[in-house]
Amino acid sequence: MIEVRGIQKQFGQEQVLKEIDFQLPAHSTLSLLGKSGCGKTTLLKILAGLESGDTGSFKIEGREMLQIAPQQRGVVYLSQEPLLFPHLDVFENIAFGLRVRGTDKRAVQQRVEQLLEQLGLASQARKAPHALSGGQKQRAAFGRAIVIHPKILLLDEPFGSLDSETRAEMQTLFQALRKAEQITSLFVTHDLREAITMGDQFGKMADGKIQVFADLKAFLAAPDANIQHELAFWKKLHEIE
Amino acid sequence: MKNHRRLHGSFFRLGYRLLAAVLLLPILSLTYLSFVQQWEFPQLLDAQYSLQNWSDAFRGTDGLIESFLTSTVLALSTGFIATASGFLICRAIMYHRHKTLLLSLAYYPYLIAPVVLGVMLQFYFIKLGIMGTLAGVLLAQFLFIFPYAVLFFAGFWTEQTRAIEGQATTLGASPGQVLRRVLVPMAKAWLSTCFFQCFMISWFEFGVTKFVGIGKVSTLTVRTMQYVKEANPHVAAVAACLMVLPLVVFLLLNRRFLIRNTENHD
Repeated sequence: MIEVRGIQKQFGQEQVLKEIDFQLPAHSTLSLLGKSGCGKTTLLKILAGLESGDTGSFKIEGREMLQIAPQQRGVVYLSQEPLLFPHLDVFENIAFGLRVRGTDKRAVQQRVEQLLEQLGLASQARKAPHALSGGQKQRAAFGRAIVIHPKILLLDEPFGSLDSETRAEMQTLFQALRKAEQITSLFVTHDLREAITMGDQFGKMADGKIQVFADLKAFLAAPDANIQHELAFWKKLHEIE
Repeated sequence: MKNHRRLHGSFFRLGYRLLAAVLLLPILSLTYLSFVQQWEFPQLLDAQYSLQNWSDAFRGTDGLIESFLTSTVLALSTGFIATASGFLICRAIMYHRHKTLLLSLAYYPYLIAPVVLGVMLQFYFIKLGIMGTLAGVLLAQFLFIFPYAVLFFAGFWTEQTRAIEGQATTLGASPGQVLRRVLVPMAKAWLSTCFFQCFMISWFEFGVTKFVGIGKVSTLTVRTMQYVKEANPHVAAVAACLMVLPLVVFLLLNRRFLIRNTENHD
């Protein structure tokens, strides 16, 4: 169980996060819908340990995480940019988390090869990151994150820079992987359709606050201009058909 | 169109050759001077050729080898220390919220002439008892080569590098592992270029070295200038040839590196 309570963050005079509270059961995904500048990246970076929060707590299975060094949290942050290590090939990029943990070489080989197969990247294993397409880079970034079985995966609009077809492929791949690997994740997006596709739980973030809904029906009924605007569009399209 | 392109190519090839000739000419004339004992202008080929100047240099009678070793130790040390510290200090500056102000401080030593900097440092160096010592010259050279290294690495420590660093950290790498496994390999070309440039600045440095060394630390540059002053062009030519040596070695290494890289990309 992931538990976030009262996280606040202020940059100068601007209060970016105001009392962030939510819970997330293990092996589930919370889809967070939020516009640019609503504080979602700041929240994810605080949870990952890449930023410090002013107040609040973040617990995983009852253990406080905010006092623990980021490399020991088991919380992986993935952004829109795949951020693959340019000096390592695809295989070594995916193996990175295992190598820094001193995992046995044979185990690394076996685990990475298995993941490369799952990700459809087996033939790209020895390629440099710059030789991959956008979708392949993002798949490699996923592989690199899940190979270490993170306690929680924080996804910050990971498919934002992909074309619609690759994006749909990546959504399907991620769904399959997170079920197979039993991953707990926080998926931040500004795309309503993606939020519905990816999540088990749904929430929205606005003005530095998070509202988590009981179910999809409650989420879609939220008095949020963007959600309603998007729904109206799809209803209209359905009527035309 | 084809003819135009061919003409364009020939023009550039000629340009490169002319440039190479202009760059090589002083080195060739120095090499020539180092192998002649007596030469009167303008009888270029009518001179007494001899290995005497070079054999004197290698026997150590002119103190050239000693100066060569002093310069080598000094340039290697300054290059290594300035590159390593510049790399890390620049990271701290570029990730600081007042990075623009802090980075502008690195320009300070370049606003004043190296000799003026030497005069300013003299008081502290006398107090520390390091005037006329190798350590003193090393510190003085470091003080104005280090800001250069800091400015050099400002282009490496971008938001992208910071994000990659953060990514490696959340994947479980300790700060030491991030440095060894991610940052240093990523910055390999930056580090080697910076080291080479710092090495060369130190190698050719004259003003501060002369001032802080007070004649007791005789680097190759200082000694070459001494021969020039003494109107001893043939020994000065040998010293100058030795001065160009690391440049030639680095260029050859760089050429091998470039060729290897080109082959890899092909």
